Amino acid sequence: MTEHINHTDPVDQLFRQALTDYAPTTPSGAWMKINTRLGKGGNWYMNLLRNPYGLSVLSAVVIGITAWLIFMPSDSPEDKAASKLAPKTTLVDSARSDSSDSHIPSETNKPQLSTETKTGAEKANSASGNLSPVSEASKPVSHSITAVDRQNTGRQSVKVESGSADDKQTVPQSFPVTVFKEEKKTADNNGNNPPGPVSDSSGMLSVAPVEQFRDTTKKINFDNPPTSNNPADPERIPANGSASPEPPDGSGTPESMNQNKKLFFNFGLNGNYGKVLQKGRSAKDWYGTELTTGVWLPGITGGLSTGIGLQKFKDEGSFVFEYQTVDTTGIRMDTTWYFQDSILTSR
Amino acid sequence: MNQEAKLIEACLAGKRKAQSEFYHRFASRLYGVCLRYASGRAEAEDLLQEGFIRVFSSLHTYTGYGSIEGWLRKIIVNNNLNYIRAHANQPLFSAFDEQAMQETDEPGEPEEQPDFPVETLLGLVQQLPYGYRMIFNLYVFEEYSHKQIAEELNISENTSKTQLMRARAALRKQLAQLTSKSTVSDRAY
Repeated sequence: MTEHINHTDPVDQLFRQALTDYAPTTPSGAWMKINTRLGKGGNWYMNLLRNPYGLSVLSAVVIGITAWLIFMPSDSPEDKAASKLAPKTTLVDSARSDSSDSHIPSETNKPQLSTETKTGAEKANSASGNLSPVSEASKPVSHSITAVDRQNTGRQSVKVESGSADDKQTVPQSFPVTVFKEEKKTADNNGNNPPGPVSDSSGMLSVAPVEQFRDTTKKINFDNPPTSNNPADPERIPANGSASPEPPDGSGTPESMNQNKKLFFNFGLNGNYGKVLQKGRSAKDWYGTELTTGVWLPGITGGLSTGIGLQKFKDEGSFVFEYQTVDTTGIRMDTTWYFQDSILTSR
Repeated sequence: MNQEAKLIEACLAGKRKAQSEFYHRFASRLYGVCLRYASGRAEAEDLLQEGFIRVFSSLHTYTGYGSIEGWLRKIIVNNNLNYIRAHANQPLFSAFDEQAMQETDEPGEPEEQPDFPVETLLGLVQQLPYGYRMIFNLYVFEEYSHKQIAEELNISENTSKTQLMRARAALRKQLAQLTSKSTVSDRAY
């Protein structure tokens, strides 16, 4: 069979010449529809998770709700009664450690508060009390300013920190600060404490570096095992609604003690400065700042932290948003998700 | 890195502004392609939307070899074929088409064609049945061979040839009618 069709057909040529490069005006609403469909692809929650801005809003909501749950004032009758009995508590533990009606746990169980500007090592010493000191060598040098509420509103705590990084490849070592409030539990009529977290009827806010507190907890567990249900125990808290640092179930195990610290909420401000070295070029300054917040769960020895900030290198600026997982030390953060968007155009 | 590569990279990063720029850079020509495969402007707009959704979802597969416009055109054409196959209400090709191979399709003497407006020629293509239109587009504009068309549409080469022949015959008839009308109107003046 012969090939009847060829590319020299006059009809083919006529249409090819007229329509090959035909470029009419596109419909006005076409892009809007495409744009909408691009945004709607997949499930809405998957789109939310893919979108950095949506993810930032979601994380802010989650962390905000978590923080509110931790710090919200309790309205239970027991708590109100306890708060009437308890005096207004300042954040300086040493001032009330000898108070018989303050229901404050032993100093061995509470990290001290730091309201001064100190280095990490100084903080470690001051916050540890009679607990085992944390190795200074393991602490990055940082400065902090802490402001805490003394009116027992259970909310305010601000920590400003600074760190340093040698270059952009180095993850800045910051010094996360934990703000936590322990839940209130009252003893029953038999003097036994109910199961649950260690109580603190004063609703005290404590501020301490994460690592220090965790070291403290371990020290309590292993060196000073709680005596809990023994009525003859001089450290046992009387059954007047006051609190006991010991676990009520009598186990006194490190696991049970760790479970008392349900959730940590931390936030901080990191500042970084460094020089970027490139072969054949002069060193360039690089600096930035980032506000971070996050939660840390001792139960799984991990957490999630998120930060938002600005950084500048050469004549370019960037908006930075990142997620970090907090590893078992509670300090070093590995960036797991990083979003960066240029806010200045280089010339 | 040239501007086009930067634009593609930004599109891959999901930046809407870049995707908008990408769309407006190429949409006009691709809309022209869609118009040739569609029955009208409404269907062409649907084809354009579907095509660009597919473009953005498969942009990561563009390796950088060859022009981006050629790659886009191929994506759009494939999308158009799939769309027509999915939305055609009747079989695109029938067994009867094979028998028509006995008919001749000689190009004949080159005729002096008047200058038809582009929209008129586009309208003639859009009036063709789906099967004719698909093969005419693939053969004339995308420059596929009959073998390639047969593989693409899962038909025989003979069917492809027959469909093309009939498409040409239909267009020639329409052009003749238009020419005679214009001649009559010229004489009237």
